Amino acid sequence: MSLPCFEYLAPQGLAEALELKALWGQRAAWLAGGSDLLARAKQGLVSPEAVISLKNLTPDLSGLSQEANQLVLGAQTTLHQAFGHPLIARELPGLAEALSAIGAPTLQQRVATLGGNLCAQTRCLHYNQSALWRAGLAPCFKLGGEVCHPGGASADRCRSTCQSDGAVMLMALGASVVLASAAGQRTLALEGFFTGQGERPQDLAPEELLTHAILERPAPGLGTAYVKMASRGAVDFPLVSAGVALRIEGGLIASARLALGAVYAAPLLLKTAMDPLLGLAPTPANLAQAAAQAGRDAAPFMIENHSAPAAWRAQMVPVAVERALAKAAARALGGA
Amino acid sequence: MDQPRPKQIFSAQVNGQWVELLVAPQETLLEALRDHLELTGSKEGCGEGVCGACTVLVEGQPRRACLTLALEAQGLSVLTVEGLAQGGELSREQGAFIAHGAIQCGFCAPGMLMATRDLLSRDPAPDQAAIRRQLSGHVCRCTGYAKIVEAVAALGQAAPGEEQP
Repeated sequence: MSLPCFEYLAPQGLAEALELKALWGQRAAWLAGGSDLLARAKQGLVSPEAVISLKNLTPDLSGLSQEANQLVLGAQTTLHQAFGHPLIARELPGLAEALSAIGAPTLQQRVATLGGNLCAQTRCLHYNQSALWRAGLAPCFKLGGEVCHPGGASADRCRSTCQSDGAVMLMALGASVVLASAAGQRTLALEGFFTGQGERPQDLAPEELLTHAILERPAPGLGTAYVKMASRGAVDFPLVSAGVALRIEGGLIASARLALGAVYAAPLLLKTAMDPLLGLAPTPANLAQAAAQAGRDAAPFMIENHSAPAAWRAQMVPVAVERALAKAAARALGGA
Repeated sequence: MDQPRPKQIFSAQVNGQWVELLVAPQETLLEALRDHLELTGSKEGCGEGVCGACTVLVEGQPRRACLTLALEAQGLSVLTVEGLAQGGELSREQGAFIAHGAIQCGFCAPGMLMATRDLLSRDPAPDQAAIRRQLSGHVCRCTGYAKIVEAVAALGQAAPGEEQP
């Protein structure tokens, strides 16, 4: 399968890269590990006139640094470097679980990047197909058309979903991202970075580059977990996933954040399902009640836009959430 | 839109030898290997990263040659299945695959072998879970997985050169 023609640019540093992108705008695409961009280019879902390789920026934009109460992760950090980092493996096992669940050890885990996972496009059973397959259908919203095939006649917007494992867990962790351009930089919480619009899932201007992700240093009593349900244990995108960051203080839940993957165009943050847990002990009954509420909250989003039936995926939401909550609570209490 | 762009010089150390050739900017490493260097050991199965038949080691790191632009490997070392045998002798990975019947049609074998080389370089005696995890990104269309796992396990248990059953 051949790629369409494009120009290849490999700037030497960040400033040069941002100047180039300012010049090319949306006619150029950033190239990091390539697993999202090049697969999409082969399917004709994206046709950049130029790709701007970030390979020479890797020394400056990879690795984890600790600043005051924050962890700063370079966007060029590979998945393998991130989940293998001792601090992440020890203090943020949920993030390590999410990142190691992407692809497979030899499916680009050594080259795919954290930034790439955050900037990956939303997906849909009708959209992620070959050009030939898609030619039989009218262009959908995500391709600039006016229809959503899984959404049906009444759909007025794109119903593709975020299937980025890392993005879901980072949303649960309350991470922010730094977006740089030749004109300066801005920091956005992921709640703002992800637009919730399938047509344009990230608030990232054509001239901007995601350079870093910022996390709060894990507080004592924080437990994290990520549970992914997919057809296969490797290579697959999630059909449903749940990322949980839960803090226990004196035996009671002091904070709880839950984000779902493969449900909505952004990692879906379910605040009202988790709030009733505050001040309660993390008993199986309490966690099951919150998981059931998460299932009810997620149900309206479920349509037939992935390879497993929507009804099954809806039933699996509370299951995935309950497992993630139980694992996170055990970790917060110093268990597994 | 789809206008050909000028070719660029691509230079890399492929299986120990420096090579230099002209590639189009959008050519993948797999196309450079197969179409220009006639190293057809690496296979194109799915062409979108899923099947693993094109896996090569770039600077010792496994990556999908079908999802890697040739120019991304500029100046780097690339090891393909053709580079495993040394001086006319098959590598120990290849020997074990043959001894254990881990090859049926052989289409996945180049990728499986490169994944095995990568795993053993980091973990000389991998357990079953580690082997299965490492090979999880590789599809065998003959479904001959059990023999492949056995071959890799034998490599982990035996000292180099002693993995014949």
